[in-house]
Amino acid sequence: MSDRLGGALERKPLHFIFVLDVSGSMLRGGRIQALNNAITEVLPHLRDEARANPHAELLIRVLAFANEPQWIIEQPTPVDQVHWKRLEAVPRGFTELGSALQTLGEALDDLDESHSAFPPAIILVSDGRPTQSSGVTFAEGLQAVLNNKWGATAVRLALGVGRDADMHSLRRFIGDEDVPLLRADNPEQLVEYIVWASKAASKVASRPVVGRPHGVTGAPPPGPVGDPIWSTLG
Amino acid sequence: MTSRWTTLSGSSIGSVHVRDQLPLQDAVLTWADADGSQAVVAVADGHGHRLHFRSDTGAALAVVSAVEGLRRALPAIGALQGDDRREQATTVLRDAAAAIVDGWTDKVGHHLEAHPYSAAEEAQGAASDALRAYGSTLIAAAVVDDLLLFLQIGDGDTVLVSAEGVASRPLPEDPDHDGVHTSSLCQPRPLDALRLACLETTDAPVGLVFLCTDGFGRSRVDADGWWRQTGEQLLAFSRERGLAWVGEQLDEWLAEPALIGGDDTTMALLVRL
Repeated sequence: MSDRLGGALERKPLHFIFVLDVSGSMLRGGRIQALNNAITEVLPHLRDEARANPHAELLIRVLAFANEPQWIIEQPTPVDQVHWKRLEAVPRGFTELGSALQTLGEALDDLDESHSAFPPAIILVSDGRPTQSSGVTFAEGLQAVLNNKWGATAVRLALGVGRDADMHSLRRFIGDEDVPLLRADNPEQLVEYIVWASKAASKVASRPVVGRPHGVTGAPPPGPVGDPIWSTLG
Repeated sequence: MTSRWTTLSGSSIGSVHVRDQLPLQDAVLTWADADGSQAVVAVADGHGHRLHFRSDTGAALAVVSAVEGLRRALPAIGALQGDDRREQATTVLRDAAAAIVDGWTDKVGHHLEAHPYSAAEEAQGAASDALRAYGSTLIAAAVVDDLLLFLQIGDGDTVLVSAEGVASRPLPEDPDHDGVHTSSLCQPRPLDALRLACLETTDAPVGLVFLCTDGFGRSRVDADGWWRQTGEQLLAFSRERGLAWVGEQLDEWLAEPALIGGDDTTMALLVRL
């Protein structure tokens, strides 16, 4: 007989999904470079979060979108095994956020219903107003996410980039008025906000409570740092 | 021949509590008389939500109230005679449970008098529902001679292991437990959520009883069968390696689910010698 009492234990998966805008406007003012830098910078923080949360298996996925959604990391990948390859923005690419959210909803449908897991953490970054050239509206895409059990219970955070970001749509994506909605107006802010959002989301999502976690706690990063260069670009 | 009983217990803080700088919010208390004919064990799980910011105190007061209340009731239960002894004992146990809830409420009141809510806590509504901050579950078991008594309010596990090593749950499922919320000592009319049972060990010889907070079972791969395995193992270990060895292992056995599951993990055993 094994000396371990009660049988085997398992860590619950915590799915962490970045949904990233790579539309043509991300080429302006170095936004795509800043986004790549931000993701590169956030990974060590997520590895720290994984080490600080031994009860959760932190798994990363990345979905980029412009004219169409494209999985950059499709298989849930332990954060220690993620090697970031820089994203390229799509010249003149649209902001097909509705289509991306529909793809996200389908991926959430594939999560094992029988497997216990923490609610996913989803972080959306976008610099523009959602387009619908693919025929899927933002509202339809969002509904596809919310129709899924995991999507409805997910910790959803969003960051706007620059003054053209559609903060109204991003607020609808978050869904909870008490959760901060941030807008980055320069590369330093983008890094700072993504790091904050990632840590806040992993902390809230990984509480050992079943069901919709209570909202993101902790204040967002203090006041703006650096010059608001993206808010002055047309 | 009257059975003799002893108790063991342990508790381990959850890794999420360590991460969030929260205290251990479980509590455990045991008692056995000198000749082992009577014993009481109790565990409590203080709620983790920020609204229950004194739940570590609430849990500690819950196990004290339970052990006090059951110890007071045991002489009367032990003196019961007749064919309907078990039914009479159930009635006394129900009264004891009401006294335990009253005792907990009084103790919380005394604690609150000595440590009033701050203005910030009152601004969060603490004063409008004075018991809420102390919210906790409670599970207790007691034995007097050949009568075993169980009571429970809220989640957690109560498991009886027969002398043959077969585990069973002596209490009914909590109809209000939805996997998200638990019944609580701090809710209005907590006795509505009381589950209790009284068993005669002469009907079916008992090996041991274990009580645990939900942190112990929550992360098990075998979500439906872990408690059976735990019961079988505890009985086999206590017979083959001795209770001293079991006692030495408890901290390690509780630390692993507390680390991997994240929640505080507590267990108390009532073992027939």
